[in-house]
Parts: sequence; C-alpha cells; structure tokens
Amino acid sequence: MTILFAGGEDTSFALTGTSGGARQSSEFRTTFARCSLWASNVAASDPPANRWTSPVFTAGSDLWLHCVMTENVLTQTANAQVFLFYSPDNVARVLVRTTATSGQWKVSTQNAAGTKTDVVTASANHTTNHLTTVDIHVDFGASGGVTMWYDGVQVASYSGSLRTDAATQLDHFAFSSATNSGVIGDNTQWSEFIAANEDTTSMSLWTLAPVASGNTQSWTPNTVGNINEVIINDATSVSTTTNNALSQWTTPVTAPSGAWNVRAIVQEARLQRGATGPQHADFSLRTASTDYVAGSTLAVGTSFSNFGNALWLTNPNTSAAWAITDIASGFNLGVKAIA
Amino acid sequence: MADASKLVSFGILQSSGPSLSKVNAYAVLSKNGPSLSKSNSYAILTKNGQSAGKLNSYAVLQAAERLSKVVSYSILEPLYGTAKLVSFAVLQANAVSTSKLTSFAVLNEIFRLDLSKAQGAAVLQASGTTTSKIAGFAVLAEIVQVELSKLNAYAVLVGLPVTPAKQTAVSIIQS
Repeated sequence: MTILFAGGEDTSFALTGTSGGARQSSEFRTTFARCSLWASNVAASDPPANRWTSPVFTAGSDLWLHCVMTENVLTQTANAQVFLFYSPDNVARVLVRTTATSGQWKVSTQNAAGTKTDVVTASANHTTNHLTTVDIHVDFGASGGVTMWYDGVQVASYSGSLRTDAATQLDHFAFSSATNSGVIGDNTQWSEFIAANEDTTSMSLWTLAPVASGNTQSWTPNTVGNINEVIINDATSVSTTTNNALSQWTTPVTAPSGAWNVRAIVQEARLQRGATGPQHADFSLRTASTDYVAGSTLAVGTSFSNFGNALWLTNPNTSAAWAITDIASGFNLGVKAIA
Repeated sequence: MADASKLVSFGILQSSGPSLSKVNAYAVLSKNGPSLSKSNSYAILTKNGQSAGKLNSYAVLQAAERLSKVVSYSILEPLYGTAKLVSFAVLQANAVSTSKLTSFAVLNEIFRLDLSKAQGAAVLQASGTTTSKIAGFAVLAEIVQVELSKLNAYAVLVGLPVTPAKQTAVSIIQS
C-alpha cells in the first residue's frame, strides 16, 4: 500500500493543448495549496483537447485518486471527460464524464476502439463555489468496481469488471474540466492530487514550497524568489556550473490545522542544462542534519522541462514512516547538480 | 543598399568575448540564393567547417520580404541545435531599408530578459550606418550551467483517527 503520485501545480502535470493554466484566485484550500489548475473543455472533445496528464507511475490494478475541486458555474455538456484513467498502452480505460444534468458526473469504461459504456451515475451533484474533496477508487481487478466520494460521502458505487480489451492495469491519469462556459474562471478548478493504491479519503496534500536558502545553497543567485514561483516562469532561475553543488531550501514547517501522519514527501523541479557543465541533477533532502539524494539521475534537457513525482515514501534518516514533526526547522528540500 | 546580393560579403558574425576563435568556427552568415534581392524571405546562417546541410535545418534567418524591406524580424535558430535557442533568439529590425540595417540588428532574448547574462543568447550589432559597414557583431556564448527555474514539494498528509478525549465503559448486567 503506497502513494503512487502526488502533485498539484503546473510542474506536476503535462498540459496538452493551449487553453489551460494555474490560478491563484483562492479556488483551492489556501492552507494546503498555492493555486488551482484549470483546462478548458468547451468543445467536450474526445479526448479533451485541453487536459493535464500525470507522469506515469507504478502500474497496478487498484487505483485511488484524491483531489479538491470547485466550480463557479455548473454549465456542462453531456459526456465531457473529466477524469481519464489510462492503461500502460495509453488507452483511457475508465472515464469520469458529465451527464446532461448540471453538476452530475458518471463513470464509464472505454475500449481501445473508443466504445464507451456507462456503469454508474453519481447520486449527488456538485454545487457552485464549494471546495469539494473528490475521491475515486478504481478497482481494475478481474472482479472490479468503482466507488466515488464527495467530501467523504459516497455518491457512486458499482461492482463489476471495468476492464476492456486485455488491459489489466492503470498507470497514469488526466483531468480536464466538467464545466464549459468558456470563461477561464468558470472551468473546474483542481488542486491537491494524490494517486495511491490505498484509501485516500482521509488524505490531503500540503505544498512545501521553498521559503529561504537552506543549509547548503550554492547555486546563484541565492534568491528564493527565482524558484518559488507558483506559475512557471523561466525568466528567472538559479544556476551552477559546478558538479555536486547543492541548492537546498527551507520549507514551511507549520502544518495545516489537524492531526496528521505523513505518508510521503514528494519533490518536483523545473530544470535545464547547457551544452557543457553539469548535465544531470538529482533531488536533495536534508533531515536530522544529514543530506540525502534520491539517487535518481534526472535527464535534464537543453530547454526547461518538468521533473516531478519524486517520492520519498520513508524518512531516509530512519527508514521509517515520516512524522509530521520531521517537517521542522532544519528540514530542507532541493536539487543537486551532477555530471 | 539596393543590391542585396552584396550582403554576402559582410554577413559575418564575430565574437566580442574571450572565446573568439570558438565563435568564429560557426558564426557565418551567408545568403541562400544567388541574389538576395530575389530570395525575399531568408538568409541562411551556416557554420564554418561543418555540414551546411545539417545546419540548414536549424540555422535560418528570416526576413519579412525582400531585403530592402527587412523591417522587422528574423529568427536565429541555434547553432548547437539546442532547443532553447530556438525559442528566444529573435532578430528584430526597425528600419525600412537595408541602408539602415545598422539600427536594427539586435537579438532579443525572450526567456531571459537580462541580456547582460545572456549566455546562450546573442546580441547582433551593426557598427556603421550602411550595410557595408556591418562588420562587428557579438555573438553567442554557450550555456555552461544547469539551471533551476522552479522548485516545489508536497507532503502527503493523512488524517489521524479521531480519538475520544474520554471513554466510559458501561456494563449492563441483566439479572
């Protein structure tokens, strides 16, 4: 039972299409996140012309998805694809789609030929301007089934196989918009995405954006404002010409109110390299006065690109589960330049 | 400068920085056709000692119309084939005739606006008032660093089960 993916900003997903972005208009839980993501789904195209797609994560037949969403309007067209759950062959096997009823969603299956079959419709509808926690459990096993919750209340449940063709696993997802008025702010606003193969209904995603230079921050300039942008801005950056140079930054240390365990720390970065100099990077984490690297050699390209979903499922200092008290003074996150 | 074909003779990019010999190795402007006055829309930036055919695929200077009317823009694509250069190396023109080429030869960097730090970008300057005097250019330094433009992280939190502050056990004994 583990976390497969977590993210909530424009560095977490790949945007297909041009009508999509991040907003800071408080259409998200402000103590947990810094922005919401949106994608226009005006034409309700198949698949949505504008959509955010997660990185590929460990494939499996049991997938839970958690997120927070809100809608300013409920204008929607039937059969607009809201969520798409993909098998490793990149076919969206399970879809969450709109119905003709405002604020209502349904779950459908789809085969490689594009044939869609509705399996269950939610018994409750979304309302405007309400931050709703959505959890979806897609059981892609042979017996199968799907369950959906809004704010922890079950709104849909279906027992039966969701499999199409020979697909038996899912390994990434995408999302677009349920609403389609054509106004940016009227698109569904999304935040706090978590994918797991365990129950996500009590989970939340707390953004740990850089606050100030950390224990070792040798990249230049030493300006946190160059890298803690909510929305990608490649006009400013920090850089190094030195292999093994660390760029560590402090994070918030006061968790949102509540009693929490920590299931994972997840890092993401946007990087590019030059023709010479350091050609790769790795994620860095500092805890208990010790520096750790993720051990991944990020294939940095010659133009800026996103590197996300770097999961620290346990505290590398203890090899045990993270505790909320681990995110305290001295806790740093960053990157390391490597040859 | 009515005869654009003479552009061939002055279209040389030189480095003003310390790595002159390196820049000289690849920064050469030549025209594509036998007569630039007829090759309305482009000149090709080729690379000394390298395969022109290869460079053709990414090093192209474009002009809006014939050179006597190169009013606005050209795109200088990367010499090293770096995707980054494709998107920010823009050659702007602000004159209406080639005789005023001196005033427009500037490469703007889109992604990094601070040209003083423009590693990988290029500033193309004209030194005279006529095209025949366009002899001095400053071009292209390699990006030699790894750059980080956004860093972020998350903690996946899971709510602890609610534990009653006080529990009372009651046994009901039925006699």
